Amino acid sequence: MSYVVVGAGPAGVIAAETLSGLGHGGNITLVSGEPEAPYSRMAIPYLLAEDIQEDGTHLRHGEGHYDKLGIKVVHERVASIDSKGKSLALESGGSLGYEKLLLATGATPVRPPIAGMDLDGVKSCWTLEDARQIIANSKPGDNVVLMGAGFIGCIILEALVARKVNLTVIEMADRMVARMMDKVGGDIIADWCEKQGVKVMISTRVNGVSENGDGTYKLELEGKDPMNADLVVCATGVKSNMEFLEGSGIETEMGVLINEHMETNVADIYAAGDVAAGFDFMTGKHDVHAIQPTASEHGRCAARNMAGDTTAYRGSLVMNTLNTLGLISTSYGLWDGAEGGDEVVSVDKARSKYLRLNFKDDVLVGTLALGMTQHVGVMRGLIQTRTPLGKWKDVLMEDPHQIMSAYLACAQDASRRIA
Amino acid sequence: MKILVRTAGLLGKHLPPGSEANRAELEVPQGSTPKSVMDRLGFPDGSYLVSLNGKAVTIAKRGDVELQDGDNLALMPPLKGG
Repeated sequence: MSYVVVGAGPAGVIAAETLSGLGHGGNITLVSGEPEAPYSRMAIPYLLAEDIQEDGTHLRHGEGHYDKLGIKVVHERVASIDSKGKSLALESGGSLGYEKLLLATGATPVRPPIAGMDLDGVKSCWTLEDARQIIANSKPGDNVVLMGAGFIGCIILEALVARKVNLTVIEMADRMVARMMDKVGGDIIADWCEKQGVKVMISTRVNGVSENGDGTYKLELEGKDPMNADLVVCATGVKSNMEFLEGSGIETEMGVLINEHMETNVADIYAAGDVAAGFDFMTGKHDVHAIQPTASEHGRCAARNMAGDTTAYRGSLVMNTLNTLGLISTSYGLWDGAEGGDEVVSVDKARSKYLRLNFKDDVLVGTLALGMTQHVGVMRGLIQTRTPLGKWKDVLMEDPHQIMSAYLACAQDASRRIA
Repeated sequence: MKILVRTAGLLGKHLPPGSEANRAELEVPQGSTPKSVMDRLGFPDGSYLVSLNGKAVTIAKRGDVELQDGDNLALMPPLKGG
């Protein structure tokens, strides 16, 4: 059997390793679109903060790791797929045949359609090469503008603060981390950042960036005074890498649509990770969950199915944990509430603490927690086991901080069963 | 003097034989640094995150900070967010 895995991020690497580990034989080729050893983008903030060196971002350490597992790593970019002829056309001109194909091509940053986004001083923070550029172009005291205070923006934010730049964050939405935090939580994070010397501008739109002529850049802001910067870092979202699928017959929406066996609608082609729209554990509907736990689960499950060990995936749970300059926030599942459900909140703005629990009937379906880390695993456990809370729901509606007691009373056995 | 070394996930394999899954009490000489402990345990410097008593230690400082008796040294893989 000839297996080809396109994409050398966490989903692709774990899939290739799983294929090797299953011991069914066959040739495994891992196609990396970047000239680097397979690495984790999630380690890049630590590289920027000088907590690690470049090889610390590599997903696997040790000489010959992939060779030892019988995985051939090639550095190529795929131009298109001929799904009838079971062959990939490569941008370099060659082709690569497959019997089973996994698409794990991840995502690419998108920039807003405004003037100046192609200027030298405007960088994304996505690849190792981007990180090198930011390191080379930011020194202590520089004025740096971060466009986008989403999840990735907030991760980069901390690394930029560690580089001791004067940082301004500009976010179009009405709050920080809008995709994992409601307004109350987003405002607490913004206050926290402001107290640590980061200027946060929410509900602010950048209309364009231009060069001042002295090496600095000018940002035009809608309804506000323009702002100068030495460097602009753009973190305004990502999209799944699917352009090369045109003409392949593979069905896509926000990502490549896959079933519970990680299969696309085209025979012998699977998808995993940020490029894939798999099933959401809570809603049962297709969604792209661009997070590492989903990437690893997808990769592992896809490999098993490719190798003929039919394995159904139960769906991925939306979860995010973020450390914003020391303030830890987590969100799980339907954190913004379920239709016809109940919610309870506990807010202590002065101490930057916030807890929100969302229920559907007597089952916990989503949570937000800010400034507290001690019981977040319990929240996830209650959601994933769909444990009926019975009378404990009323206790939690009175005092959501009783979550550990509720877990001990209701869910411990259920969690043990799935562990 | 003794320090507590904690690791995460599969990194426990670097700890001395007989250690608990991800923690070990180590006897180290006076003047030890995070870097000297990492070298002894076989952690390549620059590939892992280091925190001392809960505070991050950047690469530049790992060879300078002197460990004290009872210190809590954590060695972790660099994964952020997600």
